[in-house]
Amino acid sequence: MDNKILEVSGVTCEFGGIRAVDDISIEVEPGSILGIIGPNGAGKTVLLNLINGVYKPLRGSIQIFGTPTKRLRPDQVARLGVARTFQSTDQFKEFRAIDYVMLGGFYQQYRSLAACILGFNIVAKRERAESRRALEMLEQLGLAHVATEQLSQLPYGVQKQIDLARAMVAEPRLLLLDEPTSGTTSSERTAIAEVLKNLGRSDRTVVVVDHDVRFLSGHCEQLVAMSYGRKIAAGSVADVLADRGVREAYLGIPAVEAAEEEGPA
Amino acid sequence: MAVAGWLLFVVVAAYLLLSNSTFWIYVAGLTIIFAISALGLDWIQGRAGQVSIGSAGFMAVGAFVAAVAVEKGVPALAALVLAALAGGFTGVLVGLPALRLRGLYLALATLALQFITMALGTEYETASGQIAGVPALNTTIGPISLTAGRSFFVALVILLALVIIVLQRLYRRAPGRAWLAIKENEMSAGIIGLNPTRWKLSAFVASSALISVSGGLLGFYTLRVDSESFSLDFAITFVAIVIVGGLGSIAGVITGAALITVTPYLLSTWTSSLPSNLPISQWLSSNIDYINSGFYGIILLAFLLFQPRGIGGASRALRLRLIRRLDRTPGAETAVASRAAGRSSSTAGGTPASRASAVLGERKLTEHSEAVENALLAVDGLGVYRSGACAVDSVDLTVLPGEVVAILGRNGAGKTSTLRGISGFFLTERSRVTGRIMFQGRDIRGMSPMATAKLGLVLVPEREKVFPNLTVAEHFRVIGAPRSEIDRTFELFPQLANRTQSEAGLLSGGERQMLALGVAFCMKPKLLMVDELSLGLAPGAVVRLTAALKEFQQQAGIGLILVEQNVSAAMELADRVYVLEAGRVESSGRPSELDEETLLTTTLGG
Repeated sequence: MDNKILEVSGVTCEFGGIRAVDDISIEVEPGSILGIIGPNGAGKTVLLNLINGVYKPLRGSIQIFGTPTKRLRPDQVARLGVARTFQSTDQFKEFRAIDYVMLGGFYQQYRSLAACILGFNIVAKRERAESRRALEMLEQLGLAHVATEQLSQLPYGVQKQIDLARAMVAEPRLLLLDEPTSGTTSSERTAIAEVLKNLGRSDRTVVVVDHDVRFLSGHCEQLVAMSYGRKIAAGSVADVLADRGVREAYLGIPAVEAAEEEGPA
Repeated sequence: MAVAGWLLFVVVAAYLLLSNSTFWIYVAGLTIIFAISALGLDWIQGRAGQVSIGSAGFMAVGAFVAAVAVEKGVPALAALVLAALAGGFTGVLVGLPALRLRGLYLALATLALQFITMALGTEYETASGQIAGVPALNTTIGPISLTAGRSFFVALVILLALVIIVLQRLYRRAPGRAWLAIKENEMSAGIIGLNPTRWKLSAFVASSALISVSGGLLGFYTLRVDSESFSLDFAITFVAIVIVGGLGSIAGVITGAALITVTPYLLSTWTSSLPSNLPISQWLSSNIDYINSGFYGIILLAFLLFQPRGIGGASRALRLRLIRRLDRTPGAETAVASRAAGRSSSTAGGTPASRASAVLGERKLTEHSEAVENALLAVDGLGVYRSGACAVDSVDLTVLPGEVVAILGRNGAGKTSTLRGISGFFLTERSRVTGRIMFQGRDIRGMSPMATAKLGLVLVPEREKVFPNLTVAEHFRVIGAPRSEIDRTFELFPQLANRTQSEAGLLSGGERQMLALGVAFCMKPKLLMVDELSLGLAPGAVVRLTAALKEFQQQAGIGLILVEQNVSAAMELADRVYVLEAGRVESSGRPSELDEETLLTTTLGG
């Protein structure tokens, strides 16, 4: 087996006649951070959902850690060691922050409903260990004080960070981030960047979709630009941002000004 | 709180035992059996989010299996275990369609179970010659006789306590989190790593087993199992219990069970205690069944209208409010004191930033009085309290016709709450809004969002801004936008033009933002409020959008309030800026008057 973490080859996906992802190929090296940019509706989130196994490609294949994911359910893909954060935070409202973060470590242990009903000691022990781990992760992000607050009561940017904490608790080998910085303040952005930076030192691999070009260029080794479901550019951050097509489709800068420095952050 | 609940439970049980009233002990035993069944329904519906009206069906399965087993000489305890197994198996049968069906369709599938069990029960009764039902006599577990009476009542009290303890444990631990996640968003739960199929089925199997056991107990309790008694009315009783009690609250569901079970008995004892020579008592006693059904209907409607989250939800809200109030009383004074201290230090010199804000504050006062006269929006001392917590303390804010106002501040400063308070959204969320909100010379505080929208005040919220099941075209049709307006929107957002027939739920995050803004533009607002304009938008789209917004705003001469994280973008667009901190206006003024660097460091903590 080669040591590719993620290999997306020639993947196409359609919804109601619209080609959301069109012949996309991506390879991610172990320990690297890959950024994906593109105009709204370019198919970035759809691509993440394809990797997660929520949608199945019409054509092409996806391999994660060398395993083809064609026949895997999303939870089975997660169990391979893939964690993902979400673009919108309005899907889990009733959770308390700490309980939500604890969801991250859920799949790692076998859960038996019977053991829980009968009240085996090991269940309580495991529960304590997990809540400790979740609290530590919240502390790292400086959010221990909101642990018992309900998610719906917390500001948007804080919810985003708690979602990140949930993904980190899973200790994934591949981390997929969907717009981690949208709706966050500059200080929250710094906190998220800090987490990413620490990740870079471990053996984790990250794919991050975001609009904040300054944020991406600070952390990614490689960039992929998408537009209308297609890959329009790929390579080093500088190369992709200098690409004429990218500048026009994404940054909204007419080709004439293309010589000037990077776009608005 | 939990201790108080248990105490009440024990006291009521002890009181009934000591009272020695056979009648009320009978009613209480019945209440407990119903409560166990209702807890099973709350399990599948309130926790796992799977709609069910099949309680009566599952109870019938348990009742028949237990009664027939006892008839064939099986000991009562074993018969109840058989009832649980049969219920669990039936749970799989009903749970399998639940993997595909949702909402109303699932409810209908559970309703089918109800009719099937009733038909099978009748069939069995005719075939075995027991037209009046299957008898369930002389059932005992050890020394306990399983017929209405003191010993069975004590056993039921202990059983209910055990059920409560086990359920509480389950809900607090991993299984509870799994069910909640699946209830809230099945797809995302899968991505997180939960197997929705497994957890949905497990909830169906376990809750059905519990409901079936309560059915078996009911058969023993009433000495007879008759298919006629597991009617649709009976099924609806349990729906009524969980609605009145409140889904997702164990104590609430038990209270609901008590209310719904006991009230008819109270009514009938009351009517029979009336002097018989009154003309009404004759009528009452002969119509008591109808009166009882009518009473159910009225209670159910009253709760759905005024307290949709039931007794449990209401008490939780009350508790939260009490806790917050207790928290606030001592803290409030210190907060005021520190604020006063901050103010005195700023007048005595202070940092340049605070001095600037003090100066601006003075100027604002003089500006304010003349501005209020012809202001589009004049907000005076706005306060917003969400379940007792203060989200906005006191905000003054004016928007002149044709003016662009930006609200800045860190997360949690009260920006979103300010907008929602002004638009009336909080009214629907049961939050308290204080202060005066004058829109075009009219106080709009307390108006519904629909009413304020009609007046020309349109809010584009941060989340849940589109209707996922309507297509893009339908969004515009709903508001009756003319063709020309729609075309202009599509010119602004070319992506939308390609996706007119897509459901909004299939749009990407940025496309939803475009749709919400486009719809807002077409509503011809006099004041447009946008919460997070650039949320999830590509840089190119933001550039296009801000240009379009400025043009639209200047053409129409409308007022505009923007809440933004992107300070530089806001500064560029806005005529005036308000900086919020801890629910108050920290400073305000023209962008040129506010030093951006100071803003960034002191206010946004960046």
